[in-house]
Amino acid sequence: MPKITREDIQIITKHSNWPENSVAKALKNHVYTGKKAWHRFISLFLLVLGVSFTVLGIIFFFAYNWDKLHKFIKIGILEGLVIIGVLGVLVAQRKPLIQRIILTATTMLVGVLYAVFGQVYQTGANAYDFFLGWTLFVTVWAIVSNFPPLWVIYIALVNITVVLYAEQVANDWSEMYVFALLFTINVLFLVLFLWLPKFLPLKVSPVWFTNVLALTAIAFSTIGIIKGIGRGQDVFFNVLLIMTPVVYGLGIWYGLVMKRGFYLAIVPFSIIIIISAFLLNESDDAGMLLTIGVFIVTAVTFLIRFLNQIQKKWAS
Amino acid sequence: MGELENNMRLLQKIRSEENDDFKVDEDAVFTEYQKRRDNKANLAIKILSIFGGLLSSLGFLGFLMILGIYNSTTGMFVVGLGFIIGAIMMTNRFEKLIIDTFGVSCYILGFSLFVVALFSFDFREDDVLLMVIVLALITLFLVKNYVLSFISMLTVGVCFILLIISNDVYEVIHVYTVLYAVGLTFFVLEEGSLMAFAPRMLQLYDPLRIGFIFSFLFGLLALGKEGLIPVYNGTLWISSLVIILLTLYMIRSVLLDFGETQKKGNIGFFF
Repeated sequence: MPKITREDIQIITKHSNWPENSVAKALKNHVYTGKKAWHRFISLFLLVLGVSFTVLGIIFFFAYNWDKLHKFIKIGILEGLVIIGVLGVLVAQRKPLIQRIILTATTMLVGVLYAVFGQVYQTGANAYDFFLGWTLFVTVWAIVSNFPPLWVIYIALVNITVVLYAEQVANDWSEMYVFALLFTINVLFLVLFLWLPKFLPLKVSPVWFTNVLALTAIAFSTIGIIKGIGRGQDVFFNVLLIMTPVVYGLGIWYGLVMKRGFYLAIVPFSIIIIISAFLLNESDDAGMLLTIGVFIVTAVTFLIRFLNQIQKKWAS
Repeated sequence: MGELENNMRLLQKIRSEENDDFKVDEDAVFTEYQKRRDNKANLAIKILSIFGGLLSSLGFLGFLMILGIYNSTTGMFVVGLGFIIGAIMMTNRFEKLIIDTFGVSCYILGFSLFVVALFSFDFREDDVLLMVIVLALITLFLVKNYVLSFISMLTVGVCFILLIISNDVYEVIHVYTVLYAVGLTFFVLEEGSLMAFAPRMLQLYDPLRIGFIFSFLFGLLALGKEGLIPVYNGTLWISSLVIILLTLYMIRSVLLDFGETQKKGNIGFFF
């Protein structure tokens, strides 16, 4: 017999005289988390909480005592912590998850180290230099650990570096170029994480991680196209306009083949938003606003209907 | 057919565990299963409904504003209430997934017009917020739709926070946070009792639970984000104390469920 779910218990309770203590017992036996899962959750949760508070404590320690510390002590403490972190990773050989969590914390400490270094020596470097240095020096750790939360930090650093470089150094880069570049970078990462495990002996990335990457990529393409509409000719806007349908098409194909409803939801929703922005650019009078409202309701309704039908098809 | 057999086996299993007084309306159960299967909405669909409804209501609101509905306070009030009632009736009558987006759009649009109309009638800010809370609570108990129930819950929470800000009684945010923490704890721990007590309200359980969580998070955000609500730093710990006690109580409940028995009153339990 398949697992009893909360929905089963709700439906039967609604149409029966099932007593309160029996309902509670059914929930406890079939729905609520068991002892083993609680144990795992608590050990992981407390570990992550402990590591996070330690890193934050270190950051605030430096912030609060900045004036009173000698520069050798400031940099020495941080370098010492980075070394202790790496030694901790080497020591915890039998516990891969703890190794990865310590490495992620050490990655954050590398950032703090470079921030402190920049403050102490007042190098006059742009903010992007800080993020670029941080990104480069944790690349090997990100690749070796292959730990999704660390990859999230790494990819965020890459994106921030690109944005700050465009703002502070590459003043000749158009806004469209930056959006096209960010879209490309995130799509490349997404493709790598989806496809590399098929060819190399790598662990398959968790669904939440690839979904976050896909959402980030789509956000850049959507915002980029919306900003580009009506702004005049920019060759990189045309590049984005060509790349986006291709990537979206691949996303829909992937969603259908791998039965991932997430891609079938976010790609069409992005298209709906882009078309609405296009319509708004054409005119912002009452008739057009009504048209946009009706278009969004109709399009989202059809999208939901399609997703519902495809879900049922996959379930059967 | 496979799912029907599973449902029947489940009912038989429960019958075997209960005494002869256990009565179940099998036809109603199978109809409910069928209805839920036809309208199964995963998280992506629910989020699409909310955002789609929000975006389209902005478009409709813009349309109405350009047409000059803003010039007629009574018009806004009537149209706003009409949209709210229409949204409730439509979602209750059809109970179809595809109606959700339109229902959410009408609901948000109706509420927006209703609030603007109340301000135009020169009601005080507090009176408007109280009326919105009452309307949201009434909607919550009338509507059978997940998304509308969730939006109503959020509306109530946000209005309470706005009431605190508008009256400059910033320390009351602790009461807000504590009440929502207690409410959420009760909801989670007494799920069985709530299900058995009000089976007709079961469709509210999931949106109420997630609404409680979000409203509680809003309270924590108001306390934690500096400058959002100017709470005196010396009293920041007050709501934390209650939340710690609630957490300890929940830990005790979980451990007791796993048969970790202790002498009554032994607080060494928590160490």
